[in-house]
Amino acid sequence: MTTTIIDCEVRTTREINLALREAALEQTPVVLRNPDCRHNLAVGVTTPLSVQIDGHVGYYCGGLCDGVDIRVTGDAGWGLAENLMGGRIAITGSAGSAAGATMRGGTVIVGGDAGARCGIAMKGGALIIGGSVGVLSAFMMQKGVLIICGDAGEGLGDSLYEGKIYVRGKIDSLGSDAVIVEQTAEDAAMLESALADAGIHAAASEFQKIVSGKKLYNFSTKEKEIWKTAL
Amino acid sequence: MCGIAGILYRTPKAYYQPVGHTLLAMATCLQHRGSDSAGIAVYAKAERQAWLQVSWPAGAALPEPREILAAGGGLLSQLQPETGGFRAVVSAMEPDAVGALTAGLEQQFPGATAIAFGKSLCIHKTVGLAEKLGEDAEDMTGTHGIAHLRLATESRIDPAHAQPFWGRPYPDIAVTHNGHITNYYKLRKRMEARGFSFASQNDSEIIGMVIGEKLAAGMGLEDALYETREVLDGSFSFLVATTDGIGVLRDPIATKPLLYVETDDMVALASEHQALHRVMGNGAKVREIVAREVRVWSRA
Amino acid sequence: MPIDDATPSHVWDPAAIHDIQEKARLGRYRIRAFSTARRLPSLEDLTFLPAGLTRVALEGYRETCSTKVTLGTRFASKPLELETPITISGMSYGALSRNAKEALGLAATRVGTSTCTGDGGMHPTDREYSKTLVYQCLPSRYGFNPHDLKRADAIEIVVGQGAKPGTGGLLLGQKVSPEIAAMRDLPNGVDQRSPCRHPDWMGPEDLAIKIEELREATNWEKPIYVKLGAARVYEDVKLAAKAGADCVMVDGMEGGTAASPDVLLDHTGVPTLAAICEAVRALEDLDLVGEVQLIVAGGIKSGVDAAKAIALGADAVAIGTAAIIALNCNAPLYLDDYIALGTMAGACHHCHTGRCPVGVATQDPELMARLPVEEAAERAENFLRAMTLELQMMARACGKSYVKNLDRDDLRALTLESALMTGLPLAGMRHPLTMASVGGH
Repeated sequence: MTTTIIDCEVRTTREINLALREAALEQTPVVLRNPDCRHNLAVGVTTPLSVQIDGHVGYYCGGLCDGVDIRVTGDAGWGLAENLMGGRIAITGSAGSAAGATMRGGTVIVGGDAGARCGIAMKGGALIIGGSVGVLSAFMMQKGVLIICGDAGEGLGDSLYEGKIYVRGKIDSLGSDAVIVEQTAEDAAMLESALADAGIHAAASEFQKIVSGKKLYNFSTKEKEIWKTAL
Repeated sequence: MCGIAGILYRTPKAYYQPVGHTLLAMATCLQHRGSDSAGIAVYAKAERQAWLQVSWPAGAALPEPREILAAGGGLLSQLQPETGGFRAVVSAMEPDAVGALTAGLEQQFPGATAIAFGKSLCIHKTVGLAEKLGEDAEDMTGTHGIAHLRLATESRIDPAHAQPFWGRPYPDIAVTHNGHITNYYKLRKRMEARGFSFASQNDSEIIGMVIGEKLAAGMGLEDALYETREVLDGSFSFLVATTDGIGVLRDPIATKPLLYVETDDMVALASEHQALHRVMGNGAKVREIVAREVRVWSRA
Repeated sequence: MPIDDATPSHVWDPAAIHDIQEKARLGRYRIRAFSTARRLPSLEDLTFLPAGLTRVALEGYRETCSTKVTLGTRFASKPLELETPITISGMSYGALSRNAKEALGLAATRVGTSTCTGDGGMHPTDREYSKTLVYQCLPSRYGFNPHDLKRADAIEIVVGQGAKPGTGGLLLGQKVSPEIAAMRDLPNGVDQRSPCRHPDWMGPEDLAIKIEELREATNWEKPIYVKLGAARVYEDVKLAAKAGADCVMVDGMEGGTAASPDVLLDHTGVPTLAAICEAVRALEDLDLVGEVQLIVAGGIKSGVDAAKAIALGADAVAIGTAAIIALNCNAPLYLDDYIALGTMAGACHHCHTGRCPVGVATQDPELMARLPVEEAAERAENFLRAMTLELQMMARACGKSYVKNLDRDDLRALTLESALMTGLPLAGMRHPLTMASVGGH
């Protein structure tokens, strides 16, 4: 199979994304060179496409995609893989704020750290962070799995509805209604397979599991403590 | 609501690093974050005397130097016209005297704004794109400096509202801020009651003044930043520069980005990655200033 | 001031007493729907100056007066071509019943205007029934996905809504039915509290990048709107335009909602009348009038309101509450059910309960069945046509063969407040009021 090589340095973002769409039609894998932290690379690709990006990317890389396989050797800016529907987006470096925001399916892997609000409002899929995450990660998470191999910043899982968070390191603080529960055998099996897929060496038993306490599901004057700041 | 950047050279006794050139290269990478105005503050080797920089309203001719010197009440000398205004030596360093001097000048020459003061600080600002800062800014050398690209939110677009802001009336303090200080109004009223005069309606201006007051009281920059964190409300990632180096602070919920690269020789800071890679190379390890974080780097 | 035993206090009036006791019972702020109940300076306070001897009026029926409008001409390769500048604003499937959404879609399609998904995603019948569909991108991103994005005709990034700027949405558990919950990826029956900020952008500099992302994802074809709750309108409109919006929608404080803390409805934002003028000034100062289209919403009740908004500088208006009233909201039917809610037809503001007596704002299948889609669609269509006729009539009376040519010079203010808010001359005066003319500084 031939590979399309695109040098970002001499192309506009518009041209790069159009070339990616064409490659998706032809099912040709693409390599992007010299991305130079450009914003909005490989966004809105909703047909299967393999993209290798050699270098750092800016905001919203792989945003609004479905069925893609994007690999970035480098760092990413804000909103990596936001609203991903399916497929796999993996970066070797660190991600800015809101990595995997509102993603609804697929797998996102960040080799390094992720910034604030990682996995915010996740609605599905798996988001795996090799390093640590910033404040307010998994805020209002709705579904899906967030795996954090390092530490978590303040307010982890605040107001989460559903979904599961696994943290290997230290948690600065849990958010409203986020509670630590025992891992099940099912969790361990899932974790081991997800970590193996991400190429991360860690044992499932090292992770704490956090889920919703469900006390914020419906307003209750009997739960004054939890509701005093939640509304 | 903006782009910010900073550079600090830590090589001992190297006072002639291409700070202006580096900051403009970074500013070019951040231009998309704000094109209403741009500016850089550069710290050179300290001179024997302190200089005051005053920006003059666009289109208005400078009066005779002696008229300005007379308005300085004996504190001003060696007046030199420069692009967009003038600079002059001030024979006082005390905040009260400097505050009275700048307020007096601004009152006598409406539209004139004191934009910088100190023995090492020099600020260049312009309305529009960073490229308009021109060769004067590009050629500035020194040990460190900070830059700003402004997307104006609530206050006017003119040189007086452009950043970096001098932390008036204190010498050699400059700030470049991304965000909005939501308790600015009350803070400003209280500072005005204590005699501070403001050059603009831009909320960012107050940050350097808050910090300056703490430094003048004998506090170190790091402690001053921890205290400032408790004083300011709203969204902020900012850089504050003094003669000694650069400090940073990010708000508790990390609303505005701030990244940095640190090596033995240099520290570079910026709102977005590309500005850092442009000056530190693609292999540079970029880190994030996290929520609530205070960090200070000193020059050698 | 002496009062007798039965006279309520003006300070602690019955409403204030009830309010305190309700909060003492609830332990939280009160929630209601509809919109602010305040009396506000409004478009009602303006009047048109039709043609007399100086200008020539146009005849109805025979002499054309175009109501067509094109939205999204700045950057989008496929702008929206609408037959009337009266559009339907974003109301979610969740807040409204499926029948209500379908009826609005049909009505809008029949009169050649757009409708909007609202918060909660695009239901298949939204797309099927609406020829021109605006897809909202909200902080919650409920149901948001790139496939629907690509099927939409325009994208509306919602920064805020007029009823409650600066805060997120609410959908109480009684309306979070299994279908609604599934569309939004929520557990059944939860009190849904939407975030107030977008998850992946924070300020205007990020918004510019976000807009580019949406454009790249949709091939630069679709108009991108930014919807603002009217507060710091002048600054916000400027920033939305600078961030690259094709259209800016400003929703005044009279804007509706299906559930909101009541204090937000009554104590936040600025009236639509003031908001229009500030928005127009912002676009004028950026020299973007005509390039960035302005859509105005918030308490628009009639074609004459639409005409006034256009004369003040709007390119189009959006109606929400008026549209659902046309469907049957507050109609004098099923009177016992209004009483059961503690209200009556004509005063009902109980959308948040999910017990809408007329099947408009409910997810209860029995109540929903009270709103047959076809009949409701016809009422909404009739109302949109009537509004458009009123709009045309005003334009013709002012001698304009295009409603878009209505302008400020066709208007006078009837009250001091509206004169000062709009800068229009008071009726009978030739020049706008200045502070000097009212004796101020």
